[in-house]
Amino acid sequence: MIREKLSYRIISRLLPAILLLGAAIVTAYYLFARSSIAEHTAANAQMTAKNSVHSIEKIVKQAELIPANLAWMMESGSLERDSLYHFLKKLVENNPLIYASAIAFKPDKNRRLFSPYAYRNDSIVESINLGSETYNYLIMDWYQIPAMLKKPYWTEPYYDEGGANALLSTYSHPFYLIKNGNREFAGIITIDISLEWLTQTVSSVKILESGYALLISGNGVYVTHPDRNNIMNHTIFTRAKEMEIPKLREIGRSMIRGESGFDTIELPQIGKALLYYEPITSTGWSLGVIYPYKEMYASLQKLNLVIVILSAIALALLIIFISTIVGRMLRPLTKFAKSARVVAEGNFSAELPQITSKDEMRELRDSFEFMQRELTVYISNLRETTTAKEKIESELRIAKEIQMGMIPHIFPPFPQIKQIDLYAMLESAKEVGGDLYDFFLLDERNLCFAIGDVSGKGIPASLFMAVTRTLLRSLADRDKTTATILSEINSTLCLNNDSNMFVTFFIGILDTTTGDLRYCNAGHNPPVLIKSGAKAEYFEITKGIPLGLFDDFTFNEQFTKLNGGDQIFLYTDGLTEAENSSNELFSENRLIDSINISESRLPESLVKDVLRSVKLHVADNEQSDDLTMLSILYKRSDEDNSKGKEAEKSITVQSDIAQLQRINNWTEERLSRLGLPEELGNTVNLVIEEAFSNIVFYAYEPGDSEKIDLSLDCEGNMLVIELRDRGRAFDPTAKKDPDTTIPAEEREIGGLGIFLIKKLTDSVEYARIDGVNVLTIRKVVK
Amino acid sequence: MNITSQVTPERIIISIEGRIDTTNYGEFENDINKILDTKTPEVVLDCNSLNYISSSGLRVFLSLHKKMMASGGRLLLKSLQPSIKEIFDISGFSSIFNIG
Amino acid sequence: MRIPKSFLIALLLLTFIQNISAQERSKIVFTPQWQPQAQFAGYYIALEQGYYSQAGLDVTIKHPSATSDIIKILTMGEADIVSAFLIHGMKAQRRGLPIKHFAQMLQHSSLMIVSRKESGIESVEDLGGRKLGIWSSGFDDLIFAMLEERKIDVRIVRILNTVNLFLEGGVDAMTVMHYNEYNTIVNCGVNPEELNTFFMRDLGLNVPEDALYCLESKYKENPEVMEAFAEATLKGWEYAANHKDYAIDLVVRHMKNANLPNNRVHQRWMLERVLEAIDPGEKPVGRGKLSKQDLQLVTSVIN
Repeated sequence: MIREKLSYRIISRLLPAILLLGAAIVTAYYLFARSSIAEHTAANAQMTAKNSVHSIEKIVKQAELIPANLAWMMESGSLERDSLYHFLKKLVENNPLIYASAIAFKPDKNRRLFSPYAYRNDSIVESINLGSETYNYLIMDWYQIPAMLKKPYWTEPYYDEGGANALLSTYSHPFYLIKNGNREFAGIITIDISLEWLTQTVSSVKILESGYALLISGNGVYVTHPDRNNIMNHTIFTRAKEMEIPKLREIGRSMIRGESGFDTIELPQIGKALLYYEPITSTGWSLGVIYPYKEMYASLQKLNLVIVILSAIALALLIIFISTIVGRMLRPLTKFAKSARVVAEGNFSAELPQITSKDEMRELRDSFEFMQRELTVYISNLRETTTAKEKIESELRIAKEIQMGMIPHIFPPFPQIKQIDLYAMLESAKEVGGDLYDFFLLDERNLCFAIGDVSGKGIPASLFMAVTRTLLRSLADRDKTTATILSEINSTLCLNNDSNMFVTFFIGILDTTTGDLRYCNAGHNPPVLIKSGAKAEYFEITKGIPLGLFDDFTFNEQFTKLNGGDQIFLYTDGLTEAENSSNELFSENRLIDSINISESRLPESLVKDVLRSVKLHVADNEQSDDLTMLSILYKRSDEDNSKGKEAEKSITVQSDIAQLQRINNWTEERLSRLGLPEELGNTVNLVIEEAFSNIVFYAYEPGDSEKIDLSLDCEGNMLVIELRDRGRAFDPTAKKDPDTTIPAEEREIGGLGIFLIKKLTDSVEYARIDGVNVLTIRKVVK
Repeated sequence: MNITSQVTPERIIISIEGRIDTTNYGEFENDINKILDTKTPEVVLDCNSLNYISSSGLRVFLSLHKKMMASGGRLLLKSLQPSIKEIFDISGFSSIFNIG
Repeated sequence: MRIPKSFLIALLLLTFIQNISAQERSKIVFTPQWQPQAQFAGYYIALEQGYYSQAGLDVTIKHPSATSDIIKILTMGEADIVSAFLIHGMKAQRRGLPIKHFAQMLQHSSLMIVSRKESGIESVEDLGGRKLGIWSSGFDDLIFAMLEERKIDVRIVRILNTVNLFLEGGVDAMTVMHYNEYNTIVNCGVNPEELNTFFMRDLGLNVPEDALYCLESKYKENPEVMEAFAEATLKGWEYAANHKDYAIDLVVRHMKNANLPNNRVHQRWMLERVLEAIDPGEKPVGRGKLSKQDLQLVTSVIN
């Protein structure tokens, strides 16, 4: 299944960018809003302060007018000294703002200290003369400072000690009198103003939650402050020191200098705050308004929270939106994947998703369509090719049938010959093979059989095999030795064998009446001989070389004799070299074993048993070579025995030294049939050999293949050996005996044979009868 | 026919097995000649397993004997079977060869 | 305008106290020479910590009004012990008043002249022809001695008890106590670096200040009581030196009780400066004692 959806991957790549972007927007918004709020707050602060200052100034200015008017009145002489008490009383009574008022005269010669003074005592206004020995107003701030500076002066606020702790400030205004024509400083007119209204005005200024307004005097003393402990006790400078805020001292200095401005300050409890201050110019005081930042930006903080929550929701929606859209866009991919699977299953016309867009999906669909078309074309081409191949294969099949038709495969092949039971089979690894077997009768009693294996496989091998088989059929003859037949086939095959093909070949000619088997091998695997009642074993045969290699190679015929029940089993190396999947060969040992364990001695069953063993061995492995077997059972029937005995008295052999073995075998059997002792065998053998070789060497030209008849029989106690040949007249008895007494170095080599015959037998007679040399040798036996 | 040999500087011992007849005397002669070295002072033919010999075989023996004589060597026949010894006796070879 | 309420009370007390003829032996009324402030922290602590009562004294601290003459308070019997400037005390003795100096609390002079740098007064000599504010309550002896000695002719402006005239620029310079008015000026927004200061102690007039006086008769009667008072007070000062916050708390409490403007910042400054002045330092004299050299110095000043 899909472990990681593409849409998730896209989102996970996009998410950081979106987050970054969102954060940037929120930050930008925040900063903008913040600066906007700051600006707004500043404007607000300024306005608040200015408004407050304005309303304070209004009252202050109003108050200032009173002493100013009084001073003018004094100077203009419209007030008499005596009436001053009364006047001041009225003044105080009529002005609720005024707590007390005094006109302090500068001392002169007439009066030392004179200062009419009207003041509120509870609800009553009383008047006294302030000046006395113990109250020297001349050194008091309210008098001394304006007097010295010659200008009006607002004193530092102070608590009225007499009244109910009212906070007061005295406004002092100098007045002048014309004396001797000169305008001379004459004293100070004061009004004491209660600052209750002032503190109320300032305290009523509400700024956010914990912001506030404050008022400081010209000395920096707190006149109003939310913390009552500060009022009149602290100056802004002592607070600055106490709170360890050096900046506050600087701000305070600006304030008492009568400046206005903004500043930010970090205050305990309130935290960072915006401060705006504005002077009350006439009094020298200063008003400050404080806006705590956290409250200023409280709404912003709230808004921020809302924005963050909204952003989170928007982000979640975005993720859902993207995954939906991407999922929808990529849905065709899933369909393509399905279609690809369908195509892989062989259905090239698998339905493709409809793509209406003109994007990469469309491209993919076009490529897919193209792939389907190409696949269809390719597969149709492939079909044609396959058909052609099948045609070739069918022709090969026919070729195989023809090839198979060339070798006999009707069993039993010779029902008329009772001595023979024969079975053969050929199983090609390919359609046509290079193995062959053949058997046919040369006359009514001689069976020629052969097995061969052409080098290589396939058609060339099969053709070579056909040629070999044809040559065999045309060259085989009862009167030829097997060696001669092979030599002739060999010479013919060597002609024009440009492809250097060769064939291993084994030929045998079995005299079905006697069991005599002549055979010759051309590099083929040794056949298996299964003697009646004995274990199977390999033939001891001359290996020879395969046919088709050297045209002048001399093949030798060999001879053996089959007795009743003996069987000869021929095969090709396809059998012994059959491989299983572990590359183990079936091997010659297994072949012998499989023959031995076969319960049946009938060729057909034997061949099939062996085939089963081979197949069992090979198992699933592919058959790599042709499997060919030919097995012949020799079963001489009882009725033939007498005829056979008769026939055994004589033997006809070719005038070839190679026939000696056959002769020896025959001789031994003959002697035993005649009931003669075995010790005689060597002597008789020697005699026959010497006689036979004499005939071969002297009666015939070398290479002649003429027949020599040999018979062996008993006449009484006389063993008679007779040799007949049609060669040149040659009398071996005529030859002079060699001198056996002379030293070896003087002895001739030769002539010894006939001498030995004479010495070993009792008579040797030669006769030439009708062009036939007849040599009769007799030996007395017990 | 099969022959095996044992070669020492002083002598060569050749064991002959089976038959020597007209069909294989040539082969036998060739084999012997291959083994023989003219400088070998003594050649022993062990005939214990020699079952049969015909005149062709005898001729090979004789030519071998001549060859040895010519090079001043010695040919010794050993362990002849009775039937073989009989052939040697009949052919007069017994008097020529050193038979031990 | 400050109505001198305390002044009225003092007038009333004058007749009242005179009627009390006999005083109990251990009952002591102590009057410092000024309104409550850290200058008297040692007395408050000695009282609060029971050093006086431990010494067998029943002490009452009674502050005078701003305009009171402290020697008068003593001679009139309003107080058994007063704290007064050594100079004042000696001048009173010179006038023949029977008062006894029995302890010297502040060993060093805190008196100084301060001027704004912008006024161009770089030395006391520059004061010549300039306006010098001097409090009217008698800090002038030493200043005059100094001016006379140096032959500096200044225009003296008497001031009651604020620094406002100086701040307003009505005078070019002002005599102030280092532990008090100097710091008040600073606390009104004038930075120290904007001021030039001239200490009397640097001008060869390191005259001891606060001293304890009683009537000679009373001292003769019971010298142990006076000495015990002085000793307990020094103990109080020692405690103050080690517990400044506590001392300031106590001072501020006294100030609040007297309805005086108060703030810890200023009182801390004052306490620290006063503690410095109490410590004899290099002077060859013990705490609470007056050295012969200083006695000679003061004598020469007032002559």
